Amino acid sequence: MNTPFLKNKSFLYILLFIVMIAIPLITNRYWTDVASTAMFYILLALGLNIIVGYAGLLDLGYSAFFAVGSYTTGILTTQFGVSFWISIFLGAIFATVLGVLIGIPTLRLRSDYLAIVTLGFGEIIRLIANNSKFTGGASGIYGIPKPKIGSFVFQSNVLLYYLMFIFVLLAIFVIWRLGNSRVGRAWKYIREDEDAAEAMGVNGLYYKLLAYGLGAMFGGLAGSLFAVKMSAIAPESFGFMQSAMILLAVVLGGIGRISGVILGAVLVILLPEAMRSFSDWRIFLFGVLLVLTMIFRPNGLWPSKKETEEMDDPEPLKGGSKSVVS
Amino acid sequence: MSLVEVDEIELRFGGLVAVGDVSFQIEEKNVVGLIGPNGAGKTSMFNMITGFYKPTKGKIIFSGTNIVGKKPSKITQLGMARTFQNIRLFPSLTVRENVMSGMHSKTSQGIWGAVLRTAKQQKEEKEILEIANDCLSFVGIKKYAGRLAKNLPYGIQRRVEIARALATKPKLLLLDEPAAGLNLSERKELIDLILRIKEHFQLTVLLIEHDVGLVSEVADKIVVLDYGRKIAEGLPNEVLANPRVIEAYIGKDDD
Repeated sequence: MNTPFLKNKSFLYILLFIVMIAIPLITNRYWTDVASTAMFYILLALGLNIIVGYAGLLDLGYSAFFAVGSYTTGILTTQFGVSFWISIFLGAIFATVLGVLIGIPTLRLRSDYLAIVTLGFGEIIRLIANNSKFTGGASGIYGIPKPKIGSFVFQSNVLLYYLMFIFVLLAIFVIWRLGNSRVGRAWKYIREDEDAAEAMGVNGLYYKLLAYGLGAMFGGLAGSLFAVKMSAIAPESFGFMQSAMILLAVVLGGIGRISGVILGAVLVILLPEAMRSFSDWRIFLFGVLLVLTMIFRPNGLWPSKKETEEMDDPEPLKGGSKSVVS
Repeated sequence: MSLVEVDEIELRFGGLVAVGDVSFQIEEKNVVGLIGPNGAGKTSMFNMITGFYKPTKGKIIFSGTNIVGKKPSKITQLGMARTFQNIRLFPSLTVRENVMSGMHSKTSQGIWGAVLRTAKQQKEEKEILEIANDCLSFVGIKKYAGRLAKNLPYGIQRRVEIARALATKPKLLLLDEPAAGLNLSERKELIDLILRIKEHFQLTVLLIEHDVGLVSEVADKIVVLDYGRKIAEGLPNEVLANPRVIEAYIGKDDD
């Protein structure tokens, strides 16, 4: 396959890259914070995009994995003095394991049932966090230390922004390559028609679990970063609204497409900020904008590629090659 | 030698016997037609062979292994490929991506190969693409490779489905009413295509069809089902002259 990610529009991507690097240098602390929040959302939306966009599994409880990453880092760094780097690693692993465990029974269900089960699962995780001693109950965990390498501490918001930016770049790289591979195609086949995919030799349950586990892993990573960025976490950050906002980011920009998902995540963060002067009206206006988007651009603001007509093979009926003979 | 042995197979849905006590064989490199009036159990039979339904009794031996109870994906890996009665393509993917799915069971790259783009992975991707293009050329739809499957006319979609099945490099190709909804010239092209597939790939084909004329033109053997039972089996001209078959299709003569 050709690689449109590198060839086409490369100018646009380079420009975007420079802007992202420059944001903390040219703006104030407030906008750096907004940009950092956008980074979480990009990471979360990219992860959820594997589940919803690639494999077509509607997950309404994605914030559960976000919570697992956050609490893993929160608990391990404050109570056990574990380094952030080990905690983010473990957070990602716990989230993946949880994703697979919850996936084994639920992924046998068809999509609408799956949505209900994941919705409940998200709430269960939030309630556990709210009512357990080791998670700090309703007040959560505070005083989470900043990550450090040797004696170098990621103390400032700017440094944390760059740390998250690196994770986002890594995520884009990994998820883009996965999407354009045999694994990514298997997900899309399942999304399009599970029975037909199965008939083509795609093991549906295995690939759905893989999508769920990997998506959960990115949720866990984002959670760990969230914990150190905020330095305090509480159960209300991980409720259904959070799951809904992440899902919104995926759907708004252009489901299944990385650039679309990133755009969606940025808009979900930026629009409420930009409309701050409307005070109480902003959420209402945001809602109106969403409804209009869904009416006029049902495939998202930046939908997937258009089809191409190929005329490079004018000889239709003769031919074929021996390589297919089994 | 027979590639498939269907042995006293039975399928019940509660009290309803959809297929009862049917046995037949599919000889290697033959085209076998499975015919019968509406509701005779043809598609149920088909779904049992491909693993979508589990028979309540009986055995299905496919090149030496009993495949009853195996998942459809597993059976495809063993060398069976099917098309669907009401075309089941991957609608929002391109025709080429659709056909590439056939190679899934013949390749093995997982997440590490995908992320690291190892040499082995790249070689596999190239092979997948080559085979997909070959299959597209073979069925004569290469020029539609970049189009989305859902935007194509019915006759072309049928061909995409056949190309996709061929890309699994099957030993046995199962076609579920491939002529349904085709016009006369498309039907003629289909007959030609089935014969070319048999010839070129040395394949065994099981063909379910309503169109008795089409079956008799391509099949080496015909099996007739009626109300879930086998009522005849044999050469096309013998079977079509069989009074029980005629009765099943046009009813009994009361005079």
